[in-house]
Amino acid sequence: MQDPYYWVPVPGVDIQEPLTGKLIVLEGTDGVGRSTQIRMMRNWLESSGLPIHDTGLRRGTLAGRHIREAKEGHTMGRHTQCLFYATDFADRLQNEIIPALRSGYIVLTDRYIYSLIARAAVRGLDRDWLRKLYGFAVRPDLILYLNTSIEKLLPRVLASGGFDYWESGMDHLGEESMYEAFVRHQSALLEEFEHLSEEYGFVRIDAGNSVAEVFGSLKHEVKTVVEAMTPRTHEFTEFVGEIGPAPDLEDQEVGSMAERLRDLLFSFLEDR
Amino acid sequence: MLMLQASGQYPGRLFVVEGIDGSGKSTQIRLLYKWLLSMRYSTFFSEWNSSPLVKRTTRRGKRKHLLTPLTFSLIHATDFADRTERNIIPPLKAGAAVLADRYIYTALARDAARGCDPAWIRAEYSFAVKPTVGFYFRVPLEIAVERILEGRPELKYYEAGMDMNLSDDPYESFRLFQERIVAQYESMVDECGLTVIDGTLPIIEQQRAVRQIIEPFLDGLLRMPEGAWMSPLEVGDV
Repeated sequence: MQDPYYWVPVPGVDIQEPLTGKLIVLEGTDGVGRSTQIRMMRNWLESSGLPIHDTGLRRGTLAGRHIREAKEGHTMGRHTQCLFYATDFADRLQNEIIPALRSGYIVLTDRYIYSLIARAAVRGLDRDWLRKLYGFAVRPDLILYLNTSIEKLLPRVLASGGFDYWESGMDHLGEESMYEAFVRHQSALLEEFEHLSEEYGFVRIDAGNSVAEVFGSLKHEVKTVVEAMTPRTHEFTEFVGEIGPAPDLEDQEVGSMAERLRDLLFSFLEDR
Repeated sequence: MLMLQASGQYPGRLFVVEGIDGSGKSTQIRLLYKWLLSMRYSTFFSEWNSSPLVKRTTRRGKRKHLLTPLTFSLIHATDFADRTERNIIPPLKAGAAVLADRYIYTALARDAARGCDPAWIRAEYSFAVKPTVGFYFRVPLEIAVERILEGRPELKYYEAGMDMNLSDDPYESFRLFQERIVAQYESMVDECGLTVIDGTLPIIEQQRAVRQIIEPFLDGLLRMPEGAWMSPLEVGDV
């Protein structure tokens, strides 16, 4: 069996105790549509009867809030910023991800160490240092990389509130406007992801396609990883929202919900 | 093997003191600070846990016992990075003498004692600048523990190493923790090229030894102009 950690185990965590769940990572640059896909993926897997835990960067209880505050002040040097993120990541890994994997959850994470490594690398930090620093990370079962080009990214960024100081790399580029900085910073990130993709074995998904097409490709990949875990093998639901083979316990509730909906529909028809 | 950033790339000099609590290192570095100032050297003093940015996270983690050996190590490395980027590299570039009360060796010893992988911790801190001289104040464990415990009976949770479940008694836990740390320091003397000072010698003699070792490195450091001389008696405490 492959070593569950990239380099060193997390201290105090028993490496013999099996991680029965699956770790699925969704990676990609800003504005590529990760959170939409994660929401759909969660619905799909849960309706197929699989327990999901979803998580993302800067959501740790220890340092998450303080990182957000520090970012507002733009006061961090690059090593400091990188290590602050690493602290938050380690906190989530130990208190959230590993326990969920132990309990047999599918952990869906919106970005993982690769985004953290890419961001730090484009800010000039040593790649070998970064790889070792994050050597305690659990090796994912699947790394899905939503891949796109700058040209396709721009309209999405503009549609979702415009340029962001950090996502444009304004802290390290010294460009005149956020537009030039954004293009330079995101191009550098994409290049960095190319290196990481090869090194860590990403599965590339073309994010330039429609949301439904992208979701179809993601589902195809995820299925191969979680197939053996489904309560009734091969009974994946076909599309998001359909109530799949839910556990028996919930049948009652599903029934009553359907009844309520029917009642609502009847009352609506009667009113007409 | 510990690999650090060469200090020779900067015109300044970095002097650090290390040793367990109660080894007398802080007394020595304070005396060194006053001496350098009295010779008009631009001297910058830096301590652990001094970064206002990370302080709140560290304090919160400690108060609520949220820290694991891994996050304990990383949050202190974050603080150290801030200290390096803010308080160590800029004065070194300016050509000053930088004094550090505890440096990465504290973290290497403490984190290894908590069970972090030694090779990983060395990689984690490899962005640090290698000190011009790193002093290690060696004292027998019993003497150090006695010095600490007589002055301050209340031990903090992480300070006493209570997170490692070595003992239910904080004093016993502290002693066992310090014992592990001393073993780590001793193994680093050769590996990291630390300069050992006998911490059981009279304070004055230790200081004489420290000054003798440092003197050859002072040539060429940034100095305050003649008129700006400040009496060491007027300098605030550090």
